[in-house]
Amino acid sequence: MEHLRPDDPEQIGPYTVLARLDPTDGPRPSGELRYVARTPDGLRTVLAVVPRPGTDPVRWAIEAEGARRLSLPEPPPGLAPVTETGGTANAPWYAHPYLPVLPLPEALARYGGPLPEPVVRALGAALATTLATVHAEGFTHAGLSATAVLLGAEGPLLTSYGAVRTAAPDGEQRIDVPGLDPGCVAPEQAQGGRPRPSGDVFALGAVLAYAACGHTVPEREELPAGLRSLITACLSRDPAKRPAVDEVRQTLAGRAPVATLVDGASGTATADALTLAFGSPGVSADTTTLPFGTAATPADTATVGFGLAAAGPHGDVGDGSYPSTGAGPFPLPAGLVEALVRDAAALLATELPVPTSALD
Amino acid sequence: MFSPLAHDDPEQLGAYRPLARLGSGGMGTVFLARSDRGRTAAVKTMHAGLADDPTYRTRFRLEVDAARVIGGVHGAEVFDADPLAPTPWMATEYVLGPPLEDAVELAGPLPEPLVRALGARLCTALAQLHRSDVVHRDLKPSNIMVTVDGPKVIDFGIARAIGDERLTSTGAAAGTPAFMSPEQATGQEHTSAGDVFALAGVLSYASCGSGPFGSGQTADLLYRVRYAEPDLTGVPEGLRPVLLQCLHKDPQERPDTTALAAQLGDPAVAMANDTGQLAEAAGQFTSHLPAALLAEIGRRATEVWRVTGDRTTDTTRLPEPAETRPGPSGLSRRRLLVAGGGSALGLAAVSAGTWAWLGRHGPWDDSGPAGPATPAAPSPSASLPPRTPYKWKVDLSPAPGLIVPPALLDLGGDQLAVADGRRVRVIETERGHVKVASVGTAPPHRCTTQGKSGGLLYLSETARGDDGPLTLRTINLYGSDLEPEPVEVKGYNGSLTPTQLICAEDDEGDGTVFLCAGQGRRPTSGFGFTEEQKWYLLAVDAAKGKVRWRVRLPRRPASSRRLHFLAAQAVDNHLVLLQETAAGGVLLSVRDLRTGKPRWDQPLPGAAPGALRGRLEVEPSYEQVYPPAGPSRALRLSDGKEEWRYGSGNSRRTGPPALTKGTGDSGVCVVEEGTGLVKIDPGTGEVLWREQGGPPPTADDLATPPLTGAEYIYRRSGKAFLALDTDSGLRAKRGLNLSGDHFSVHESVTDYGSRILALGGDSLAGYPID
Repeated sequence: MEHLRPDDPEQIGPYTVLARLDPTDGPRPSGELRYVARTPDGLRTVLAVVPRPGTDPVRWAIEAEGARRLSLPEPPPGLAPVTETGGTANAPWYAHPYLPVLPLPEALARYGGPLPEPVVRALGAALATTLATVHAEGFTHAGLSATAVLLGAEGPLLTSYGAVRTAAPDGEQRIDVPGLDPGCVAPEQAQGGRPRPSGDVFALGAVLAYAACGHTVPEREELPAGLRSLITACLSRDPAKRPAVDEVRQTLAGRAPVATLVDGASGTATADALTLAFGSPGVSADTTTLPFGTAATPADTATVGFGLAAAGPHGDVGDGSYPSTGAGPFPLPAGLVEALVRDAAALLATELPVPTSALD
Repeated sequence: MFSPLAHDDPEQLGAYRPLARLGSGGMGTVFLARSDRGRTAAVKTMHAGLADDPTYRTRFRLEVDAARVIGGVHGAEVFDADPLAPTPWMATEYVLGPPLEDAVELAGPLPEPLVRALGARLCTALAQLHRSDVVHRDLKPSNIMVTVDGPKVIDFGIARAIGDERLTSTGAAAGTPAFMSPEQATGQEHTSAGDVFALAGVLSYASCGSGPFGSGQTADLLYRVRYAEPDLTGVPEGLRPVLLQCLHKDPQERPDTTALAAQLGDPAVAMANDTGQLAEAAGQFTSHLPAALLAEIGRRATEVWRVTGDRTTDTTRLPEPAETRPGPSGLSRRRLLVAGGGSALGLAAVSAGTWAWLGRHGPWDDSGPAGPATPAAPSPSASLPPRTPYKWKVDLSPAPGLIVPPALLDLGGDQLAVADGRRVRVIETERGHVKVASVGTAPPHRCTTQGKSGGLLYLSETARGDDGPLTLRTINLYGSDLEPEPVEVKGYNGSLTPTQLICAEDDEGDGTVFLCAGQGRRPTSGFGFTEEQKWYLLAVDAAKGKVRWRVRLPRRPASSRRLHFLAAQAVDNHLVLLQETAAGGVLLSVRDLRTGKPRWDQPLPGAAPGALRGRLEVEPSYEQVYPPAGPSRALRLSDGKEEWRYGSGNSRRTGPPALTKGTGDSGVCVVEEGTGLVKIDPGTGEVLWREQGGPPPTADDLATPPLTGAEYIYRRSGKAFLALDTDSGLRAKRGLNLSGDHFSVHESVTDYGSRILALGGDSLAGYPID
């Protein structure tokens, strides 16, 4: 969080502005201008966002409305929910509920460099889940970039929905546009192509490259070995060669793609476990054989275990492997947790400035 | 962590508006509140009834004074207070960090450098108090918050000035027995040396997980504090000599805070004490904190922003009614979000009923403000009835680290056992009086009864250490001995936290208790599973501890947070079980009660385990079980054959079933999408009646099982419950507007009438029903 500058607004919609989220002259300028702001009655604090000068306000407002609808009835996991939009045609704004966060470039600056590989993996898995959910709804995010990722104690929140679409309409080049991070824009989109899900995958590769080595156009060798081929594939110039976002998610989350897993036995049936695949009729025999297991010969009476079916009755992934927001803590480095906690504590104690007229 | 406001909680306290409850104790309630300029605070108040008593008012004033004395570095900064108001209140900084007690439960015994750092800073804190002639008198792990800036002492409820005679006792010794000094235990003057004694106890607890005089019955503890040598096993060698010195029975022999700080040797603090620059030294404190603790602090720093309070004027737009838009592959987002690929039903159920291992208690933490997560579009035809007044309310203080929600066990004779993780109490259901304040300290998943009659309660207390005996106690509430000797079930590790008592059966006085128990070492974190452990379902003779039969259970991965069993019932010669798989699936299975041999099982795909805890509807007279998830159907107990299925051919979803009780036609009640409540004949599967003209149920309404009373059946509709006549299905004029998260019906055996029990974040309330 940063102090306000003279040219920062005092008011955004009904909210009184308290602080900036991004430094004025950070290493990577943010695509939009983000402020911490509060209702006059003090009850709610939000992140209020306005477009950067030079951005087309009408297209920007359209994307904001799109993000608002995408947030209903519940936002996809990891998408910063847009709960409110407002303003005028020339001066639109939108708001996220406030949570203590660091924009990704800020996080690297505070951390003192690129993030450790496990953190980058977790970041990638979370962002891939968000994108997968958005894609499943039939939309392309088209706004993923380093500054669009807000890192919180529970993981990343993705903002800037539709930034590429806002930058220029399809058919026009999107080069040297204020607020657009060129390293995160897929080449076909930079040339004016309509943003498609494969473009989100390119952006994901760029963001992970940034998180892992500090810039979006890495040499292959700079990338950590465990992420090298994945990130390189995401950054392919040819969209057809990029992996689908679901594959990225599964690779990063460390799980085999949808398959039969034997409960607790990491792929092998043990001598004293008996397993059933989900969906098969109830078995009352004491022993049974799995396609890839050994016949169970339990010393004890029959045991019951369960495998997972490849696909549940809804035909989608039935193994619960999507990391939901409750799936365990995000491995945020200690220094960053501390930074977030201090920001949060400061904001909890901060009061709205007294209006000057009340000082008489 | 946060609970909703009760209907009679204050709207405003000075400039502060309460948003949620942080806790409630003997003296009063603490709220999370926000000022009219947006500052967030913890506002402590006194119970209205106590405010009339000048003794209590004085105590409150002294607490405010002490909090001001200790200041914002070592305690929570006091923003404002009004001890003279009709309801006295005090607003302090909302401290971001867990109490030391929760920290140790979360991260295990703390590393020595951290304990030293905590100790040295606490010495500085105490020194500050003592310089102003204030003694704390109640220093304990629940009063000390661990933050990124070091420990902060909160709650001076009984702090008083040294030599202050005004509060000469009412005869009761104040303070917590476990950390009380010997002079306090004998009612003598408590000086600053007594605070040092307590501090040593706290540091001992922090470094090894237990206080120097253990825990247990108050009388025993007081005896030990006065006469026994402190037990510092588990405390690092380097700390023992100095702590022993602090635990000397003679106050004069104990070091003062300066000497103690020097011996604890945190150089940053030593320097700060010289220069007064503790704020700089604070930056180094975080380097001592283990990752789990730091993550918990980060979590709390984030959670607090999600509380908006259910009485705020909501200036944001209400979300529009849910429309799940299918994507190109036919998947809807809601399906993707739910583990197991279930329906929206699953989503609502997960958010309403999920419990995590550690540091969370209550659906509040998972779902955000005001109960079940998805705000339902208000239905145009249902208007909210006025809030139904409860007949009684009992405060629970669920322990941190609760694995399952507090358990309510029907003991018969209008008595309930309530296990909230700190203790097991017996309350009577007519007026909510606590009949037995503590029948042991077993966590909720280690308590069970055998059914509605007999008043027998089975408990298994968690053994201390890494490998303790598995013991079982049978308590007869109609008997005289409420602390019978436990029997040991030999060969199992009673320290393993996932041990469960799942149900019991008493046939001809030959009680059998069914347990889930394990062999093998406890993991280093103290909680959960390891790959090497072996887990079994056991049938145990309750009187002798002999194992009648056992069945091996699948291994759990070390990272798993799931207990094996969600629910169980012993019916005739069947043991009906609801099991959770390591991957979060649910399996319904039936075994022979006498031998453990499996009869049949049936996976319940798409079910969210958290919402199914404790839900098993079995009707012995029809010999059927009604699966709590999936299409409404009846399965024969003996072989699992489906005897009927409701609504085959129509695609409307139904919620979990509930059996009706009492006189009249028995029936299986479910809430159906689009319709509302439907009552089904258990024998034939035919519809007895359907709700007419009611507001269509939302996803949350669907996921909440109906409450079946003798005369009415209640089903959820938004924030209220509609009442329908059991026999005719006609809607009664008056519905219910209850607060709480989990509801159940308690049938009374006497004439006063039954109760709906509403379990909230930190309370249990009993509501009257017709």
